[in-house]
Amino acid sequence: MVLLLACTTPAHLPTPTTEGDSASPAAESRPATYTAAEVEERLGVLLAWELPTPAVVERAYFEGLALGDDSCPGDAFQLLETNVPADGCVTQEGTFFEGQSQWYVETNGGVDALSIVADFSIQATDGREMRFGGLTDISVEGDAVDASVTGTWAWTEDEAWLAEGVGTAFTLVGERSGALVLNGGVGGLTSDDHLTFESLSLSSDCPAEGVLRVRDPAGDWYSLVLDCDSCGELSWYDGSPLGEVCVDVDGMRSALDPGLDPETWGP
Amino acid sequence: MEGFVLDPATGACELAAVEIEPETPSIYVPLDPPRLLRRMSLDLRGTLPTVEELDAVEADPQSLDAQALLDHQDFEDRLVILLGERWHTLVDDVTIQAGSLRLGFDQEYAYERSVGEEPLRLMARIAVEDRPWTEILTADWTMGNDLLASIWPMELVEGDEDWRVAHYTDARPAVGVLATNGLWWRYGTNESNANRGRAATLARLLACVDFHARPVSFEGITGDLDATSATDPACTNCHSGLDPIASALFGFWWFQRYNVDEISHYHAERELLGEQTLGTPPGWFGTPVQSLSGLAVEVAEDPRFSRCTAETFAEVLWRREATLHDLETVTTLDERFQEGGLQLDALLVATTETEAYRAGGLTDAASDDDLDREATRRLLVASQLASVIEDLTGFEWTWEGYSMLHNDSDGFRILAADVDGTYVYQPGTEPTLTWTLVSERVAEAGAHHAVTTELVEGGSRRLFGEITLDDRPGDSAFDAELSRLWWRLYAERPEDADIAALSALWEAVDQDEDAAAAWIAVVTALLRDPAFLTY
Repeated sequence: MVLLLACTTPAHLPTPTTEGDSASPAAESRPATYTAAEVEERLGVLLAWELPTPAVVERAYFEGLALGDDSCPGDAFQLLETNVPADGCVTQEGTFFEGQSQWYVETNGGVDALSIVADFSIQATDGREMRFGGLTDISVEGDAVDASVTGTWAWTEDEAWLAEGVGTAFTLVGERSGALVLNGGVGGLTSDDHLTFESLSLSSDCPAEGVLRVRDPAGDWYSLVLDCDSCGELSWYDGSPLGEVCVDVDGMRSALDPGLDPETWGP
Repeated sequence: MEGFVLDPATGACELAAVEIEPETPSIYVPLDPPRLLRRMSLDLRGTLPTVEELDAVEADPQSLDAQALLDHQDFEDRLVILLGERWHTLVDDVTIQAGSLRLGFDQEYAYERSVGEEPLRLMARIAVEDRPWTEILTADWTMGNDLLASIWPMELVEGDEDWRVAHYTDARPAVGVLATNGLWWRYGTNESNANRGRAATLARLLACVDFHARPVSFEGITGDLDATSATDPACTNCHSGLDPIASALFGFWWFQRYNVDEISHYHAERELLGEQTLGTPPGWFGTPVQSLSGLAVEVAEDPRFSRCTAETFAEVLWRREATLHDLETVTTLDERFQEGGLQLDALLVATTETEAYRAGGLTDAASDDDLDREATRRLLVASQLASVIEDLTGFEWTWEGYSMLHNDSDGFRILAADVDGTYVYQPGTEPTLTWTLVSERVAEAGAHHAVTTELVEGGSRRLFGEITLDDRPGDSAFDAELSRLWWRLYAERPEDADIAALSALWEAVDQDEDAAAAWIAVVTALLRDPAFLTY
């Protein structure tokens, strides 16, 4: 019987312990929803939106906190356990605050830093609403910049990403007078608007270098490879070329610069 | 007869004459048809068969029809429970507390339950609509209710049912149960784990690949663990398979694990973080994929998916683990499942036809291993007690909105041998003191409820037939009622001595109190009997 078993198709084997035991061919490629021209148009819209950098988040943050008063949250800068009870508080105007936040800024000319840790919501009686859940920080030392934004941010009074709520997971590293490199992504909470950056470098010497991706509604990604140019070849997730696409990287870079100046931080 | 034989010298398989070993006598003693129907009804509907159903099967055993039970309206709810025993999402503690969502205490249980049921409801709906089981990985919808739609980015399709088809509105991919908040709220992760725990869960549930069972040695491992996990053979044993799966799950990556927006929404902008974090692109056991959608397709096409499904439901219905002894049977079940278009009905019908499922005992031919392995008698666990008692008597054991047999925060779920998904992963198989106590209390409460509502208050009949409080032992109606109850509750015909014992109990209580109390005592005794509490 042992010999026979050796010649039969194994009905059930102990789990293999090495990789490479895939049992199926790769799935067929899914078709792209957009043409290169349509992707270019979408990118034009999305890249024109103000990226939710630490400075942008901070600006919105203080707009939200401005809805508070001396009784709630009783602090113009932060939502603390000492001021905001677990079940929240209500201002005299009826605005509801719930959650916690910490805001920190240091500008001493050496290493300047800004950070916000947030997990709170604000609801005003006129419908204005802020929901922050994440961490953003930036440090500037001389010309060097190191920033990251991770979490979920929503502010109804924003005109860009924050208006519908945005999920973030990106870093911004580089030199204020030189190249800034984006890595990571941003995306609307309830939309098909999602961008990712893979070592996307923006500078005056080399307008854009790296990979910019935008998501198809069906879930796969279009990739735009930029090589010191604002135009590049767009490809589908399976590598198939779709055509040339051009983006306004100068506008992107110029929009980032003001927020990198510590002088602009603070309420 | 002839068969293929391995030639050790050449390594080739050659046709040769082989000896036929005598057939091994069966070790199983099958249940008689009424008790088999009782078992199938409890397993597939969570209720006892009706008297009419028992009569029909007793008269014509061939009429026993598993498919009819699967077509019954109670099957979907019962399947949710069965799936919960394996997927472990029906937990008491949810990441976000109800209060944080402005839900009142009276909504707490409904909230916890809804979150955990979501992925199970999706799978159950696919089953009852006879869709291929692979759709649990490719559906572009989920199941939701009003409560979930009020807290999640979800829209419900119109309808009157509590649970309805729903769609997430946050651009998450069409990957069925893999896209449900209910699954990922149960199986969280953190920075150091980086979705690996979730990956291991998927491998276990969908392919029966248990990474946790693989041997691992930490001896001699030093330095950067992330780098080591990618290079040291002791680590790559698991990580080579685990990390690519984990890499595909970063759309569910959270930076603030207790923020409602963060964990309620899908984050497509984080999908590509997997490769960056883990140093490996997404993949399924050696096959690279581009996305979670691609992963889902690979899983659905993996032969291990259907086989694992067959093995899983065999274990669910056999009430024990499948072992090497069951190799051939599980293979056959997998074949029937595939021949049935991967519709779950085909698999469940086939499983109820197995000897292991239909066994009411073991023969003298059973070995010690057989005796240790087989589960020929099962307990009614908490979820079954709840559904059976409610169906029989109308009694629901609740407190402040909590079902006392479906949770452990305030209830008795694991005390009554059931699964909570956090600490207890399998139903109990042996009667325990706590199981006995809970069963007794449920029996008493159910009996009291039935007698009060049906006999005292004159409400519509669920448990009782034509009996009234005026009927007494010795009356033909009285004896007939006892026989009918015995048959309904046990799927066995009573002996005269059984009727006599129950009559004596009735008379003794009636003498001290009244007819209603007597009937409560009799029904309690019937519901506390092992013949009712086991199957």
